[in-house]
Amino acid sequence: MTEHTVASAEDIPEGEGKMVEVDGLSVAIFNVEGEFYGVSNRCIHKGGPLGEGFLHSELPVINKDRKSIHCPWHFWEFDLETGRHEVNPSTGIRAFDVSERDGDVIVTI
Amino acid sequence: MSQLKSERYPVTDEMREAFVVDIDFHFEPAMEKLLPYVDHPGAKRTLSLEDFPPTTRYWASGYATPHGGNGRQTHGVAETADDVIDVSEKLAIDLTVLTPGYNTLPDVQNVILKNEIVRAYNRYVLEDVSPAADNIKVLPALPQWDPERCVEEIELWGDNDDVVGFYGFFGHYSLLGNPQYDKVFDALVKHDLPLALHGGGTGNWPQKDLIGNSIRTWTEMYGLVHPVRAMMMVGNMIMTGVFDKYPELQIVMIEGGLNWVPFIKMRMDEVYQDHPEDIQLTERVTELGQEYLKKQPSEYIEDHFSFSSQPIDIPKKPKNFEAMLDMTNASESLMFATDYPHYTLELSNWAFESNVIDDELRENILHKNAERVFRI
Repeated sequence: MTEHTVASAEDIPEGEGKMVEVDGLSVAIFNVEGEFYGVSNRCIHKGGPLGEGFLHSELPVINKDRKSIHCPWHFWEFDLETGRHEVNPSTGIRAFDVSERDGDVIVTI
Repeated sequence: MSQLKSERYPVTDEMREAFVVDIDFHFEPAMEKLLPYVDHPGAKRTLSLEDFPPTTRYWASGYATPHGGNGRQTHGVAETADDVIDVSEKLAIDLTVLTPGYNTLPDVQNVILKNEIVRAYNRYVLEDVSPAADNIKVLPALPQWDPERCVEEIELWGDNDDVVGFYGFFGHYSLLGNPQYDKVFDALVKHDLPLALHGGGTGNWPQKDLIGNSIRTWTEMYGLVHPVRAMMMVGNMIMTGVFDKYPELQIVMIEGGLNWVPFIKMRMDEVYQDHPEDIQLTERVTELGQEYLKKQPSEYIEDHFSFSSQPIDIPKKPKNFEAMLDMTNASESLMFATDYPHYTLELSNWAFESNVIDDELRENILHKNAERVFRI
């Protein structure tokens, strides 16, 4: 496992996301209420860029507590911790181990 | 007016390098663009004051997401030739076939208003838009509620070099096996043009119907109604002898789905072979003096129908996808489409990502099938 510093925490304000390259992979990093999450940037449905998607908590939804991302193309929704599709958990995207340390956002792969 | 709401369309080098024809790029200019082409004084006044005429409200995809909206302008809107050129470049489309965006128009009650909109749209798009670029082609709107008016539009524009066919619906209108549409087929065949049929209609399934009034979700409404209507249209045209009378006629089904094609080929052949005698009770076959159809139903599907790729529902197992493509005769019948700017937009990436699509099949899907049928 290797740690990769991918961004400064202050570059990703709460409620926003950022796409980064890690080890040749395109990873979408999100800041949800001060916690950082990372998932594959590519939606398994039609290839949409999840890094430009919509955070569930920022939408007018009933369950605001759910930490997930909606693809900007067709709105497929994935859990940010597990990568699982919210409606069909048998499928999903890759979720990465992301942490913050000393103001840096770190992805461990 | 914004055309693309963000630069969120990852287009790869191979998508750019391939020649891609998009057969379903919805062009939906605002009323102010059409008004200069509206002739009827009363219609001009009313459309300028009230915009598009009223009809039952469109079923909104937004009910099924926390994003709202009706899903029809999710990715922007194209209203001018510059818009079309700009969006096509961004989506890696090399030749764009414009389809009318007014999918609720047939439900408008006022015939004068909707006739004027069709007339104005066709004039605007063919006089002001398609002449701007060689790679913009047009499927002009057909006023499907009035076969005589359809013929007028076909005669008016059928010889225009930018016209590659005409655009109607497989929505909840009379199925085109009705002999009243023969004059439309006569005109299309005379001009050697195909008929493209797209899903449409305000509610997609009328509420005043036991099925329509039972529908509750977008999955049922969009996911199933379009394919069901498309199946009924294909079956009706075949079983009423349209293609025995018009053996040159080609039909392009847009946004009706694809995976049902093998099913109806087998189902129709089976039932027709069991019970063929009522074919003699259909008006057109009676007129032709035939005892039976000249071919099996599945053969008409292969010989006369093409299908847009959007929405493509790709099976998870490659061997199933390969079988589906084979059973739908995709190498000759499948045509790439984006459905821009609707939320259901698809790019060409899927055609490069499956190992069951070889170079020849990819080229057929991305441009050759469309070029052949639309005489591009």
